[in-house]
Amino acid sequence: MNFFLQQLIQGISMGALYGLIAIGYVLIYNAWGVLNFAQGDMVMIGAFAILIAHVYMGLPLLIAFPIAIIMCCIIGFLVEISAFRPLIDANNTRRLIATIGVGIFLRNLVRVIFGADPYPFPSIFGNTAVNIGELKIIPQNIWNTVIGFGLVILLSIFLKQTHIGKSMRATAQDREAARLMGINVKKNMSITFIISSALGGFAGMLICPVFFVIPTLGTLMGNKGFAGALLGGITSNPGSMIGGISLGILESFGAGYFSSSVQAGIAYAVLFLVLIFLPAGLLGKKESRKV
Amino acid sequence: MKKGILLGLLCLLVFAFSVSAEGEPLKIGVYGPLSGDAAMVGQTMVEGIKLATKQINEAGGIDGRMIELVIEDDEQSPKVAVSAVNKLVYDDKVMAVIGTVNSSCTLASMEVTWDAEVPHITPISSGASITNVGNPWIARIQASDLLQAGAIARYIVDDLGIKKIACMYQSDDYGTGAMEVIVKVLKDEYGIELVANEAFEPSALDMTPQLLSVQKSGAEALIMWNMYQQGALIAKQARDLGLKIPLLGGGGLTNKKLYELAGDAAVGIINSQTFFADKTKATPSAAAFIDAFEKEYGKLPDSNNAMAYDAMMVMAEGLKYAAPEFKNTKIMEGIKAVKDLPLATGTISMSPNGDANRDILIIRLTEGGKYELAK
Repeated sequence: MNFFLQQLIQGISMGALYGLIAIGYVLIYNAWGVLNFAQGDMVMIGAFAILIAHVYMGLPLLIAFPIAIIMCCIIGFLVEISAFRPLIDANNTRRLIATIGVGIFLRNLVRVIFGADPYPFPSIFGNTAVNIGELKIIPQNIWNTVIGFGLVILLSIFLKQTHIGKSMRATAQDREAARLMGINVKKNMSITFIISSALGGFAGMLICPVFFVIPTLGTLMGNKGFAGALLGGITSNPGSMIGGISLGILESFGAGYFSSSVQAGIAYAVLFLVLIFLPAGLLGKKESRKV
Repeated sequence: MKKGILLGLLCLLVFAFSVSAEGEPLKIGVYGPLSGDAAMVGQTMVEGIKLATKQINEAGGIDGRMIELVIEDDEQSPKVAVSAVNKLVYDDKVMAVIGTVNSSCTLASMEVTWDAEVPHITPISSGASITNVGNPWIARIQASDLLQAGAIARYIVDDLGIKKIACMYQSDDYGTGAMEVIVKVLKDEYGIELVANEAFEPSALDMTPQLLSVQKSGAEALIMWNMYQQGALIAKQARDLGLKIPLLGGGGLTNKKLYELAGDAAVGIINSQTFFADKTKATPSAAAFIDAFEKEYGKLPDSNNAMAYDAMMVMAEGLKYAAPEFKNTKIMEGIKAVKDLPLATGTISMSPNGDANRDILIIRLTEGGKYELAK
């Protein structure tokens, strides 16, 4: 039973991070119509941003966090205006390839600047496990879960209650109609990219005390986030969080009860099965998009 | 008729070339990960080979001919490694090849030298299968996992007196090969079964599910067969989970980054090694190497520097044996004829399958990131 709970907690805390990354995919997919394969690399950018702010500049975490998030927003914005905005009316294939290109560019840029070796990052919430009964709870895991859920709730309030959020949703539903209604579509696109970059970056910042900071972090986490987004239904924000957490739990149980050699393949197996049997995901819209 | 003339001209050209080849440098191909994630190890390898080459050339070369290196990058990708070796063998027409670091890369690329019948020495790859597949053109300086994993398994039982042992390994040629040796040695020599045996992807970052299984199994020692990055992750995450058992592993763990990444969690990690840069305890040949290396690069050599250096030295033995014709079969014969040769990583004797035999060292990481000899 303890083993079960332990693996469950582990799965949820990893899954919350997958969910955060997955939401970035969903936001951009809704607004832009294609998957952003550079989303994983924003996770890596987030990890390096907090590394620079906290470790290199020596700022306390409470200041380093906002600064790192601002850095992510700026990089997300720069990527959007330089690589994605010029392609706003291009066909899907070209836009998809642009996202892959941006990912490769970011990864190698960071590799040139920082080198390929991993960097250690100090623990934020202390690295001694707290004993609850016979359960060992790592504080970072709890915080990752809490912050992950918190951000998702904040995001949905933002999308539903604020003017910008509403116009973002309108743009996502029908870009042409939104434009006719006087909504500044370009501005909305920028905001969408900035928010999803910040969310991805946030996931990266939460990961780096558990793992290390390494340029290939994005590839690995991006794939997991993508699988989570697809499992949740690529168009649904709450769905992507549920998808992410389900994937985290599946991975954890797969390794714990079945065989650890299958752990890495689970995300891909999920991708595969969802595409065949559940193309709309858990919470996605049933009908296909109008082309 | 025209064809005949052309053929004649070609023959003449070949003849002229072979005549002028007298006194020309002996071209040796070198390939390793010079960019990408393992770039540091690749550079380390090249440093060792360059130092050995410099010493050989300063001493007059081999049969009066200098050694010239042609260096290629394999990006730690088996695909790229194959094209790098293809280029070395067919474009640069090297006489012999030295490389590479990653076992999967060596396994893929040694098919090229095997086909072309070019002598090939791998300095750093330890994957057990490299010298097991019946390739007569490969030799290896690194102690194979057969030797290293066996030494670690025996150390745990004989010296630490622990019988409840768990294993974690990265699911590639490096990790899986060693795991199989560990399982076999423990079973055949001690009748011990592993209490947990867990795999993970070489790129994995979250080791917690595997560590939880190890914790559940009640293991009293954990063997991990992976490189230093994963070693640091495992050490850190094991400490976070409160898993306080000895961690042991192979030569891939020896790296100053292990301590930089995992900090105090890495203290006490024990691993097998072929070289230890401590002049006071080194053999005369190792001490001479350490001195020369420090003079050349202004830093202490690590085990990869030493193995790459030895690879070039063993290659030189093969070349000397094959002089002055430098026939490929003769070079290989000469490499495998090396016996009791004192080098940087010990007194090396090559076995018929191409493996270098020598004593395995066991080292322990201590406070502050320094290593000490454990055995």
